[in-house]
Amino acid sequence: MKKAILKTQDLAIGYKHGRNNDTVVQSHIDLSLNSGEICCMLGPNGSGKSTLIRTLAGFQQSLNGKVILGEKSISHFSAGELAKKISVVLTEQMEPGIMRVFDMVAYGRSPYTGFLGKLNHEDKKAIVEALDKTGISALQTRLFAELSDGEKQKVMIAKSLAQQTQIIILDEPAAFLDFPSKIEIMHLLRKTAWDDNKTVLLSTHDLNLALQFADKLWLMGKGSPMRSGLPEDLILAGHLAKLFDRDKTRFDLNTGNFEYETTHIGNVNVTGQEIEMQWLRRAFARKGYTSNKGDKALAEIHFKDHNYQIKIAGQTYGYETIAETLKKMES
Amino acid sequence: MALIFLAIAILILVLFVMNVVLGSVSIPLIEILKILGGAESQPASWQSIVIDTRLPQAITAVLAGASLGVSGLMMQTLFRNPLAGPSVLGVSSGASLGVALLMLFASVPGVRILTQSQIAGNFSVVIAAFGGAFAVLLLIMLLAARYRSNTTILIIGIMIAYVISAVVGILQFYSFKDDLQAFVIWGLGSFANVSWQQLTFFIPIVILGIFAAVLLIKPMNALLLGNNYASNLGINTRLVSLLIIVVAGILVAAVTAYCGPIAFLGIAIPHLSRNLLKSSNHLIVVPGTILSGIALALLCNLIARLPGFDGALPINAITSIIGAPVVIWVILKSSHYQKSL
Repeated sequence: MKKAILKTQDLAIGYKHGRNNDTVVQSHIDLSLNSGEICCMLGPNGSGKSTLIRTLAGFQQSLNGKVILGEKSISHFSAGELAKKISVVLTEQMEPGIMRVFDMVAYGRSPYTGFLGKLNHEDKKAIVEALDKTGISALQTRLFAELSDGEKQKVMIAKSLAQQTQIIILDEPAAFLDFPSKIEIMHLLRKTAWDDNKTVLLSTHDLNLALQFADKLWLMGKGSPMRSGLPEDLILAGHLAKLFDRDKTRFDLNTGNFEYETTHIGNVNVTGQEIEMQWLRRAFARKGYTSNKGDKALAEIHFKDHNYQIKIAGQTYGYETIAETLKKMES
Repeated sequence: MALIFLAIAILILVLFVMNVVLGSVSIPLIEILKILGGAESQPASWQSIVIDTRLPQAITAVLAGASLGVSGLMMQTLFRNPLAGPSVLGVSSGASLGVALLMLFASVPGVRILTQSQIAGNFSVVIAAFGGAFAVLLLIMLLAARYRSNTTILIIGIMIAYVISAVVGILQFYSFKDDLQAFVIWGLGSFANVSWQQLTFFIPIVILGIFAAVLLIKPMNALLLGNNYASNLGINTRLVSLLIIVVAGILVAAVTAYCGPIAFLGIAIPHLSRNLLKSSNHLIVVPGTILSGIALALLCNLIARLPGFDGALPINAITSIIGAPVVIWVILKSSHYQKSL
């Protein structure tokens, strides 16, 4: 059963510089996060993603409105209480010194341990479990400083899991990672949300990743109200397209990608259902040859017997690679 | 790790005994044990040498080593800077200013309250040093309460130290030759000028300061991750920063007041102990810093008093000449250290 965990009420975020001199980044934010869901926040640079994360995590004060956690506003929680409700994974580069992976994950137990930070049986169990879930048990005696970026990110996620909070907030957890690591991290976060009924909020610049893994999207534009909803609903309503609206960039509803507008040269007729034909279409589209049925085609292309056959001005040529086919077209 | 702690503890014991036994006057170990046991020694002067000179000096070295190590560690953790040491807050400069005002300025009207021989055990010097140190500490605390950024506080602390050094320089320029020499000698540092009476103040201050540092172990560990992570772990980073500054400041003020501005040890000891114990965890490094600080201070004091030197070498020269190569050697030897400071 999903229930609302975190809500914002008429929240305004930004920076205080002094009396009557606030920089408002976003205002009138009314959003909510449920248990068991992973929410991705998308928006251009400078739209206030990090500011919102800092405000939700309690690092900075809101300019107006409230963040409500459970029943009460987060400003009524002490630092110690909040540490048991919300955990964060941040982008900042850390140099903690000579620290082993186990010690880094053990940080997650700080809110629960006594004044010297001694770990009891339960703490150790939580750490081992977190190491196990993130798949880094084998790394636990390694030095944190010697790990790769992807491994470090997993360690900090394990720290968050060991913190045993209902909400996990991550600031661009997939930045700086190679592609397989990105997928791995997102899968891990979704699994955490779904299996353990937690609430995961993360900011990202990776649209594909967000569309693939998010239960909910938060769209944050400059000077426009924030939108929240199922990724597919937001796409069909055109909100995603508006978010990154620039002169030459447009959102392709078919592929779910932002693409740079290329000059249209002409029409080609690409037929066939093989996988090769889809990639052939992409290659031609990149060069400005699109396949719109109806218009007069400059050429007709098939894939047959491991051969790309292109028919230009009545003549048919056969090639083994897309590169050669494209070259013929352009000549 | 327990083995390393044990080894340092044994080393401290050996160094402490050597500090009491070795010196320009050679006294047999048996006689020393007798004296410590409360018995009368053969030449009565031996008793005075052991009880009134060597023992307080060794105890002073122990207190100074532990305090400087812990306060250096606290500064390095607070400012996340391996070059930070007890002097970055300007507290020891403040102490210098207090002493300079007393020795150089106060004596100008002709009221010579000091000569070289009176430096030892001079209560007014201690008071002046404490006064100057606390004035600067108060200023830093006010700034720390107002400005959140640790880097800002670090830079302000260093700038204050520069300004104070300049003022001290001006005072030196206009002072009498004898006063100046007395001040320069104070500035070279010594563990030899603390009497039993003064130890009754020095010991409780150091014990209280170190106790407070132990209470800050957990928040200091959290600070290693940066302020945001630390506050997400439930730490009140503002309060903790202020407490670290106060505790480290008081420890430095005490050491500078009783021993003069001791350079180098405060920066070196934390590196030495992190490296020996292969950890940055304060639960390990705080006791490690206390123990290795004590050992290093006793070693430096011993070398300064080696037969032949006859106590002629100032402690500040020894701490740097002996300590710096030790730290460089340890750091170069350790691959852990080069990867992660």
